Amino acid sequence: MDRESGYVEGMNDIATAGNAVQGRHRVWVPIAVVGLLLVMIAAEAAFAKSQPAGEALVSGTVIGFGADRQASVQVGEGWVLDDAASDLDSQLVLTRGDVTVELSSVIFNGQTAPSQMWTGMGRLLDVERHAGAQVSLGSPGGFETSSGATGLEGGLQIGSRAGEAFVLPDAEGVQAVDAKVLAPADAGDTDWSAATQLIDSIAFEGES
Amino acid sequence: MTAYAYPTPAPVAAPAAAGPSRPLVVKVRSVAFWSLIVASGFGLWTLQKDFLPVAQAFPASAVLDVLVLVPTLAVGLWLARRILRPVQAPPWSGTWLALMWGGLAACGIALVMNGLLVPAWTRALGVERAGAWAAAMSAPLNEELAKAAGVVLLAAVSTRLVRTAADGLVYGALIGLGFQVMENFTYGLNAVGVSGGVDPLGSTFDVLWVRILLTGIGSHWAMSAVAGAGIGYLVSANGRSRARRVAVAVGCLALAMGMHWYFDSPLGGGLAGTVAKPLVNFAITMLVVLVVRHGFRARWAQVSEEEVMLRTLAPDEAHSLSRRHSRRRHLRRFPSGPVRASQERLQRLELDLLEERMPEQLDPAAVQPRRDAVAAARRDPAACWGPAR
Repeated sequence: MDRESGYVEGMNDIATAGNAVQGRHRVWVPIAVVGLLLVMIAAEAAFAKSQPAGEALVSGTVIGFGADRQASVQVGEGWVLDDAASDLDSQLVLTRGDVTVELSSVIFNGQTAPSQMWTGMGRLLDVERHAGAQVSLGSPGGFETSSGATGLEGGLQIGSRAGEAFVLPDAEGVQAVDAKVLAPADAGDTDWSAATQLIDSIAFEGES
Repeated sequence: MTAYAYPTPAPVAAPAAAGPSRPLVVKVRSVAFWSLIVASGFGLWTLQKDFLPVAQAFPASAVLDVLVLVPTLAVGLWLARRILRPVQAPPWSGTWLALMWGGLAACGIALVMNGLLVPAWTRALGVERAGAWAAAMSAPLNEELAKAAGVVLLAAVSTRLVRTAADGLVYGALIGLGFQVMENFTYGLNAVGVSGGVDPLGSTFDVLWVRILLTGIGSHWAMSAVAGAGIGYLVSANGRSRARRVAVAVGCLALAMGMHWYFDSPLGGGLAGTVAKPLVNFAITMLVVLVVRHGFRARWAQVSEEEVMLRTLAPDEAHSLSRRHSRRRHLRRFPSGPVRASQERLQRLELDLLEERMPEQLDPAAVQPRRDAVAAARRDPAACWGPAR
């Protein structure tokens, strides 16, 4: 008996007993499997690269988002929807020049106060912090959209990009839109004011 | 049935002190083994990169994830090993490798591939259509291939791990189980974001109960069990033509992808769809299980009968070997202590012999040393045996 392999003498060894992956197949089959997975990753990366980077939006376009498209935002001139980072069920990422606006639809398990929503956003930013980014979220202050909806806003910095964070709850306090507006320090004023208008346009279904 | 023309083994000397070992099932020095290890390392790195910061930010959710998912893993593991493989459970070495591939390698690879393909579909189709279809157009391809790759690698790690369609089925299910548990872990953490970081424990719990109790019955384990059965059929030395074996394997993989596509598609949405889709997948998987079990048991009965004719096994022994409870009942006929222990070792050697005979193309004479081991154990029950694995 081969003590190392544990085989009874005369018994076929592991390379030949049992299935059809024998001899040289036991070398090239795993190489082919790994190769196939790598080729698939490369092909999908090439496919992703071949697609346009974003979708330019016509001024005045209204986009509904959230699981039931319960929130909406109206874009002005010059905004581009980052398709790859957006998912209508949960999040929209819009860019204009150097300014990036990230809108997240949030649904709470029950009625939630705006201050709790702000605290929750702060906790979510901890994820960025643990991933190695420098994050600072300022104290919240009151905020009111042109339609009269109220929420909270405060300063936000993630890495080298700074801006504002917003929490815009619906009237019942069971859902909200978390918004982050970020840009490098030298971003143009027109882009900033366009972002402010964008945030101002956020509404919930049934509210105006 | 076929009776082979070689004599009943003549008495031979009792085995050496260490005795005949159980068949080796995993060989570390193989390309496939190290492919499994390296890919699992890559998967672990990918997963920790994306989810360790979330777990650190929401440790209570991570702990809840673990507390809920470890028992589900244990239950799933027991069910897969106990029910999906006829006669006896697969070896633990193969079981751990399958879970490792599913939970780490396949999950990590799928995370990378979905991270490329889903945004690409979103760009190609627009956010509205992609929101509905991107998952169904990405996950069946990426995830089913990543999981199925593990079954092929297991077949190449050792020719003894995947010898039949039943082996492929159970390893596919175990890989799918590992994948499912890890995916549930990540979804449990992602749920925290959906509720804006408010009540993270409640959000994690809500996602877990839906994914375990509502959809868990027909999720990844079921899909990759179907794909695995096809790969088991492909790599088994069952004497069927290569074209037929390839057709069955491709068909099973396509069926698994179809099940996954239906699961992820927006067709049949709502609560009814959430409940019905996993049940449909479960029914398909059970159908495949029944077909595979039937084939396995037919071959088992055939080789048992042949070994009875060769007088390696007594008829009542052969009958008792095919089911777990009948093996236990057979052993209970012997007084507990050394006699029953030696009978248990004999039974294990007989099982090894019949398992070795499952490949139809294997020359029956090739397992003669296993017959000799059974004969020696019968003659000298007090002999010292090699370690059981």
